[in-house]
Amino acid sequence: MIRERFVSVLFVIWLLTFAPLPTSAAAPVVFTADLFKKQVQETLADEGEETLIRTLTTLHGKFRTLNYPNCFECSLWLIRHTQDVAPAKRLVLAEYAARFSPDLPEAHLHRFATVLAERPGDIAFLGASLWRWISVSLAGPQRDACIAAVLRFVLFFSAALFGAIVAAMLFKYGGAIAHLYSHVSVFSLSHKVLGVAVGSALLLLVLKGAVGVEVIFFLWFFFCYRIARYREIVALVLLCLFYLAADIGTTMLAVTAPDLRGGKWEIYRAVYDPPFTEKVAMDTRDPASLFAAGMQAFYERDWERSDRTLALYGKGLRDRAQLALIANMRGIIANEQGKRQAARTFFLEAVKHDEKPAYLFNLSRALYAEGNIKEAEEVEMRSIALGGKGRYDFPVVVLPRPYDFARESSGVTPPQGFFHDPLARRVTALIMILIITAIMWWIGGAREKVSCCVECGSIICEECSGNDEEVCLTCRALKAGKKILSVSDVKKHTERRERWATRRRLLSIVLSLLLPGMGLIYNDDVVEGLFFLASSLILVFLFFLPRFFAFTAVAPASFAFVPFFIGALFLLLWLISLMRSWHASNVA
Amino acid sequence: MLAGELRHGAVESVWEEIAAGGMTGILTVESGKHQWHFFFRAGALVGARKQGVSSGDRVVDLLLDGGVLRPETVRDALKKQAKTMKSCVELLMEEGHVPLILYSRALSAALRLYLLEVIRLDKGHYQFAVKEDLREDTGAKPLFLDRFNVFRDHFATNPRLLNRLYGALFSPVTVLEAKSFPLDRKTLFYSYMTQDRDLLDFLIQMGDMVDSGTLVLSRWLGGVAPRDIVVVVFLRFCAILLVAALFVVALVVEERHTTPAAVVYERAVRIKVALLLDEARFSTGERVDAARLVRGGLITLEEAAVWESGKGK
Repeated sequence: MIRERFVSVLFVIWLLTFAPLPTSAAAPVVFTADLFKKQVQETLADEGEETLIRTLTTLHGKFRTLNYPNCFECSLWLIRHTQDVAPAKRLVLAEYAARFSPDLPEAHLHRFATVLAERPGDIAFLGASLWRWISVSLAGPQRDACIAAVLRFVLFFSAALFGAIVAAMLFKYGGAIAHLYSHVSVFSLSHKVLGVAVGSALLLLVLKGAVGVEVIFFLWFFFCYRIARYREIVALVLLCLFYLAADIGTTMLAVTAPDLRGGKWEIYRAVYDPPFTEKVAMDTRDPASLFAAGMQAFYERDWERSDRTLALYGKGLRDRAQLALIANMRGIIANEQGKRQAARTFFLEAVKHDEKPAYLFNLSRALYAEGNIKEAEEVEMRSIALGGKGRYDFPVVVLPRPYDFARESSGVTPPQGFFHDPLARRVTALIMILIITAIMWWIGGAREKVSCCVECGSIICEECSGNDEEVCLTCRALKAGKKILSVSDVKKHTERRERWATRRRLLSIVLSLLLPGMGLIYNDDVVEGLFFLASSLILVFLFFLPRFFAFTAVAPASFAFVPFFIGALFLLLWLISLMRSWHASNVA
Repeated sequence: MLAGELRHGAVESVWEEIAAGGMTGILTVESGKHQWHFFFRAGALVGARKQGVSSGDRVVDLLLDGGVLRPETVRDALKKQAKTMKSCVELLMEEGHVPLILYSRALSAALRLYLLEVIRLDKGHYQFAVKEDLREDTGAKPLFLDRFNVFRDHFATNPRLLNRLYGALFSPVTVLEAKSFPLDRKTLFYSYMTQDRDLLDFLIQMGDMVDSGTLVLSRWLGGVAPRDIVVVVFLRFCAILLVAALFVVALVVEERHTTPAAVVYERAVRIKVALLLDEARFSTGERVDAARLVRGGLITLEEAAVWESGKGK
């Protein structure tokens, strides 16, 4: 009996030797949308934020275990569906929204807005959040849109400022300009024909959109360069340069901005937002899709396919930084497959191509695994020296900059040929405007200087009276006390001076009411006026900030207080400008 | 008393004697029916008048001939003159058409032009009478002998040029090079009135410009050197060619349908809509379209249109 039992036990033991041994590897990690939503919603109902932090940390740990770089959906869901929670939890959620998508500008913007609303006194945190938002925005596929938004503001700012200055100048020099061009009235037939041709060319250029608002800049210079003051001319020239730089910059961005239409967005997502992406179609002629397929296999832990695809992608590369990046990825894959020697070789190759601290860190871990402790320590020290301590968790997956990959996947190439290059076209158009202005000057530009008497406002024309002083002859005679004018003339002139002073005062107040600073520019306080104008325009920009960044997927709700704050500031600026205008006009 | 027959250089000689003695008095010059009075104070010429012509009228004539005043302005002033009992020039000054400085310049020019008229006479006689209580017109700048001598010496070798300048003083001139002075298509007298300098110095400067070929004393090209005509014709031809080229380029240039800012914005909007669509799918588990995002107020209709236009391309 005992023998039979012993035999049966031996048989069972023999059978068990064929069964696989339980491995030390953990159960496969699962990260699904339902799991994420369910766990977060459950913990949101709990009081206190400890449970929420624990749950989110666990979820983020799973997420990192799978080597996912981002989960845009998770972050957007955290932002959009957790609005009405306690302030402390809101901060935690904003923080984790940024952690789940370090490459999503919206997540960092939301964190900045939440910190601003919940903890405005924490300047360091605010600054760090703002800086992170800016740096991520400038590294992501929306980079060109962000820059274009800033350039749009510069365009709006310079055009509005120019319009305000021109309006003030029109009130100030309107009569003088009319007088000046009354001298330039007789043209020969040839001049008329040339003038009409040049004017038509200019009109055609404007209608075809080859040139923009700068035409008005140039024409205004042409009309008033003999009348305007030095500071006004300098301000106008600077604004014109600002406008042109912003306009040309936008033109260049329109050529380079990544266009992720069609399946390109899926390719981008496969690399940077892999958790819930569908399988991308691999096209061997399209390197971006090849890389995306390789990365998708990597996230699916299909090491064989991933290594094969990335090796294929690496064959077509010449850039050392990209070669290093692929070698690093293949090293990680080899490590996951248990090929320690191959992993070390790949990491070493990556370091040879591009000595990044991340690659050095991976290499040090490969050396530790092989038992080469001394060399591993040296490499790790080098990594710490270059990139700082405690920055990495093994393995460090390094991806291309999102903007660069978005451009590569969208396949945007700059237009070829001189006539299709937007910069060349723009410069040509500018040269044409300059030539047109020169021809117009030759045909009938004002050569004489005309100004207004600062005392009585009467026109002082170099051509009419041979005088280019600031004060007219009558005012000079009156000031000098010379009795060369009749009593009635003196009376008339005194009345005229009073009328002029009243008109100046009234106009400066009216212009200041229209826009802060305009009255000061009218009163010749150009620099102070420009300061008020620029400040008020910046406030206006802040007021309409969401309109400039309308392409942002999540508008920060906590910015609602901004309009009130801006409105109060604007009102204050307006009142100070009014007071300064009143004071300046009285002094004048 | 100094007196004698008019001949070439007679007036200059008598002035030298007046200047040497520092005399004050009136020099009367008669030639045919015309008579001029020149007022000297301490040897300097301080005033001049032609018989039958008042200083004010002379000033108005000069301003009218020089193109500084328009005929209509003078006509209106003459109409008012009868009612107000004031001279034409007084009315014009009151109305601001003739400022004081302009009047002073015109008066100074009248004095010098009378002198230029007289020194060219070779018939008649002159007579100088010492008179201490002179009543010359105020405002005219005195002319000293040394300045007059410089002027006389400058044109001594080329009196024809002086005659041409004198004749062209009241007709439009052409400035061949881009110069701010004298004014192109204006009379020389007009240019003189714009600057505060002596008429004799002005004529010397204009003479130099005519010599150098910069200035043509007529609106036509008569009297211009062939080299200058070639240059002018070439320049005009170039200008016409340039304008024609400009016009052609403006015609040929491609029309821009959208602004660069709109292009960048559209591309960014596509990313925004794609993100929101993915998030909507994440939230509900089902595939949604842009119309649903519009209904949810997440995107605008324009943004949805941009998304639809980029689909499948």
